[in-house]
Amino acid sequence: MISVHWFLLWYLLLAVLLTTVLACITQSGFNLAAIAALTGGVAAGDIAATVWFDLTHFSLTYAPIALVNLLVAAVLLHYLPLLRQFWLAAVLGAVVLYLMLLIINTIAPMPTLIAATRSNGGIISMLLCSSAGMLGYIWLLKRRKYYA
Amino acid sequence: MPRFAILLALLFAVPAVNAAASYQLKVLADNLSYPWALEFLPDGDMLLTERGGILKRLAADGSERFSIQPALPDLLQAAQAGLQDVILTPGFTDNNQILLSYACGTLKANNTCLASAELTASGLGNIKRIFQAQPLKSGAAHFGGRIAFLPDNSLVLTLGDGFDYREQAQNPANHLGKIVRLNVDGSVPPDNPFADRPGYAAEIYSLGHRNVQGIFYDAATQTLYSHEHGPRGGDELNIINDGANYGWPVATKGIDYTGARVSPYIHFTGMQAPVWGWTPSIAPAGMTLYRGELFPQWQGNIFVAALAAKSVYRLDIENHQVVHEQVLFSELKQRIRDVRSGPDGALYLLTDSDKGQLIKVTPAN
Repeated sequence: MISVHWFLLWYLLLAVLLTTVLACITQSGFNLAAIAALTGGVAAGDIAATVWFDLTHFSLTYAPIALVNLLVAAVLLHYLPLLRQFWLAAVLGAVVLYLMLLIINTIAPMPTLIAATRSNGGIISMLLCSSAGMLGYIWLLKRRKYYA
Repeated sequence: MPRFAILLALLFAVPAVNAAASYQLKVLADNLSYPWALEFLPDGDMLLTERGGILKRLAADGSERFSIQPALPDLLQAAQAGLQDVILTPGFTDNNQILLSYACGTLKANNTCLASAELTASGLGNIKRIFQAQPLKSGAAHFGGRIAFLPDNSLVLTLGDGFDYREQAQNPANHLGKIVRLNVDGSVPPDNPFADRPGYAAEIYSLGHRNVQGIFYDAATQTLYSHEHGPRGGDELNIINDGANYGWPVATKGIDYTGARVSPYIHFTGMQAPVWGWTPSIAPAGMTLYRGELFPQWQGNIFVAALAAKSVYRLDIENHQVVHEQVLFSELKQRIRDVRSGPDGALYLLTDSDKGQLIKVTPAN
């Protein structure tokens, strides 16, 4: 008899949502900063419109990436109890995403698929988004006392 | 009532039949490996490049005179990198000199190069690299690579932004995302728009481009046309003026392949807007101006080869504006890498695959 804990899936999806929203805002931020450097600035309305555009468009690309990223990390957490600490979960989410980005950029026809990750600062920012998602996930599980 | 229906059917059917029968396609050569460019020789032969580094000389009927791998200095072959355009120099009849553009360097440090060579009976001789775009960058994408000569016998070479370096298209100090103007020996014409301006690369003719893979000069209207790939949407047809900025990546109708917005701006002050565009992208990869006699109805039209759209776009131009567009050759269901107007009045197509073809288009009758 296999018992299914639906809250695990629910918490994972919440973490994916958090990561995706943060990643979209990060992506917008890096693109807008690059444009602002060329034009001398971007108006607040254009910033808001770009963030909204990315939340409704870039999210469709990034959500599946975040899902695979956090699912792999969550499975590792499940089978490796030693990792069930906040900081280790955060590192785990980031490491899995980093490996995924390496694979994606190897497979994709363009050198770098996600524009924000063209710079080291952008890569670190996107990894932090993944870490935030994993922190949210393990916090929910510890709050429920599923993980000690 | 039935007669009326038949009349209506005929009215709509007749143009379709005429359109379908207005040209015929003949495969002159096949089993070409990603053919990239075609150039016509004065004797009716053709030079054809393949991305893998092969240069072929073909007779007018498509039969092969020779197929060689020229020793191009530092040729890079990977993804979009490889041998690109070929063009005869204005002095070809006297010195047999041709120019070849190609990706050069390594995967970690490369850009677009231009080489001159002498066409001989069996191949090429005296191959010399005369220009290398700077800086060297990583990755095998967005090399531009098309060449056209201007009336003063200087040439323009199109370059790409290297994909990961799109903001550099606005940096006047380098060649990424630029069209450069050179003399036939690779030197810089002293009347280039930024030749004497500090902080500007002297070779720059125009800037703000993404990946320009089509260019020609129309002597009749004294106009230099080019087209460039947008990302997702935002493919552009531009009229190139010396010193002008064409906006990439600040002003674009395209978005990133991921769906992210590249820029909030479609237009921007001081940046040239395209005269025509394609969204969604057709992936324009080569173009020609038709001045032949076999298709009088196509006189003065621009033909744009499209990879993603698997067709050729015929653009009717009046006063530098596109007034009509027609999609042709979609029945081939092939990515079209290049389209050229032959000296015999026929149109020539190159299909983009490892079994690429050279196809001649002539009137049906």
